[in-house]
Amino acid sequence: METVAGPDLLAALGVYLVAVMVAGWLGKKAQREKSLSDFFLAGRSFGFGVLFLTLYASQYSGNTFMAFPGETYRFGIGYIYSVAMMMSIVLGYMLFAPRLVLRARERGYVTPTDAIVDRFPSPTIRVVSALLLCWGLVNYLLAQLVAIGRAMEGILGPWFAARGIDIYFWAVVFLALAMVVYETLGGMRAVAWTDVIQGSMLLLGLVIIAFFAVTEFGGLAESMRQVQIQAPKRIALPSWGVRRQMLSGIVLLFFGAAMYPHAIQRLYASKDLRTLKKSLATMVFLPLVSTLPVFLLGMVALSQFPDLSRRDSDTVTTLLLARLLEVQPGIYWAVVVVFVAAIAAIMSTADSALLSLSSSITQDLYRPLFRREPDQQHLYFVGKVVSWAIMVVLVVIAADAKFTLWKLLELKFEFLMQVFPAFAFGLYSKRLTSSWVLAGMLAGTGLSLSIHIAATYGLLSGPKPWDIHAGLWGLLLNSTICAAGIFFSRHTTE
Amino acid sequence: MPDPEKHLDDEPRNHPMLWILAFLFLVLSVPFYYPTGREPQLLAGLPDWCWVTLLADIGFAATVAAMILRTWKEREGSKGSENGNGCGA
Repeated sequence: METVAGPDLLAALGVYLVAVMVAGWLGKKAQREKSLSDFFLAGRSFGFGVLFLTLYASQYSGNTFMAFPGETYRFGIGYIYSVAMMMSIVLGYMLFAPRLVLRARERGYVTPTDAIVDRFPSPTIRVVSALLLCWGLVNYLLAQLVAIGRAMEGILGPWFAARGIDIYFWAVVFLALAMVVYETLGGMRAVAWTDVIQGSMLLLGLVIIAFFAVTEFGGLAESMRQVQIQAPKRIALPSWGVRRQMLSGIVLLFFGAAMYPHAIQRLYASKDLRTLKKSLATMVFLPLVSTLPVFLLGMVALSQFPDLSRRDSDTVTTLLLARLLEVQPGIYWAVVVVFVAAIAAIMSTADSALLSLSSSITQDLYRPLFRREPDQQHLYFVGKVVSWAIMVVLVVIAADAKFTLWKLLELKFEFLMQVFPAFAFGLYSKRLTSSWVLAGMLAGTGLSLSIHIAATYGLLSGPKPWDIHAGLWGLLLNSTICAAGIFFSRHTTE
Repeated sequence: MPDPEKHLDDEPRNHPMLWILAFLFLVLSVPFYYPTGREPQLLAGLPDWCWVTLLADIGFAATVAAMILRTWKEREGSKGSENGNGCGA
């Protein structure tokens, strides 16, 4: 099914890409010095408009447009918990942000690992925590690249297929190239300024799509009545097991997504505290205009296409837009904008993850291991080379992806959240020592991984014992070890 | 090494009631309270318990926003604080 004409969408995409390239070039012109802080944190200069939109655009991604409606489609009405799940991330920040932001300003942190090592000065902790955070970022970036390919395939697949072009592959390659070019041009400034464009388009796109999806097809009430007839299980009251899974999902993001390194770096990059507080206080309400509309989109899609396979359900957004165009041809250009907004949303998250990943590899792994003397110009150059290297490797992997987007997400949080105790306990306890923190991180990660492996080989019925995510069991063990460390340690400082 | 926390006038962790309220709203957003045998009624398209979830979400967001704006305070004059020297410009 062809949704919009290929040339129209390509022209709109072209305009968008020119705009982000200009933003990247302006970011380069605004550079004050060749240092890690200026390149990766924009010299800690973001005001409310840029900070808020870059936080929004990097947090709400291809998953918002593509994976969330698909997950709603599969999970059913209970997926309304995704609104609370996204809100809980901001509360997660409140466990550590007030002290972390203060320390970051005073001591010049560039990456989240800087904060951990400042408190626990152990090379092993630096490497382990950096690897855990990088794992999460690699996973996240890979998911975004796959999402770019799937989105373009879903939108223009038939148009390109008729011309013998594999759009999945070329979309991943071309858009990855665009991202790495503007990212290495202007660093965080370029990424954040492109996020302003991408975040505005995302908000606009979500409002358009939700409005038409809810008002067409006879309204929301009619769509839900259709779901009741065609897929009654998806609208039934969630069972006790599913309710536990819903709460577990909320807690998973409360601890896991609050550890996104690219989001933490945006906390560092704010101009002052007033700006940061205003941005976070606004962010906490955004799921009502972002996550809720895509949840409704998934439910409306369920009423229109009740029998999709698991893989096809990842493309319900595209299918629904195509159906919308059939009943309401007048919204053609609005649909084009929505498609470009979807691509923009994915790119905004991917570029943020790429920047954060290259900062972590440069600052946390390369700098201490190979070059102890800080030479800012050299590190600045290494950061750019690392960005290109990461992108080449991940594009090669993404070009042959055979998994659903949600599976990637699940594995990401399992590891990210194992860094949380080092952050939270480290900021509030002066008794906790490095050895306990390291033991907690390794044990928590080991347990999460073991549960996943056991589930894969059929030793457990699934990766959520008692309907609770594996990462949360790991986090419980990790936190218990840290708490024991505080109880048994007599040290006051290291 | 100077202790940056001395520049904090107040922080969310000093307000346990706000945390309890926020967690209550989160728990309320999942229909644990709903009797298993009862059939949910559709109100304006959504099952009745979904409206409770949405109200709990709004309550949660308001609580967290209040926590951020009212209980996170740095001492005047500290680097990058609300009334101090911006560290970026």
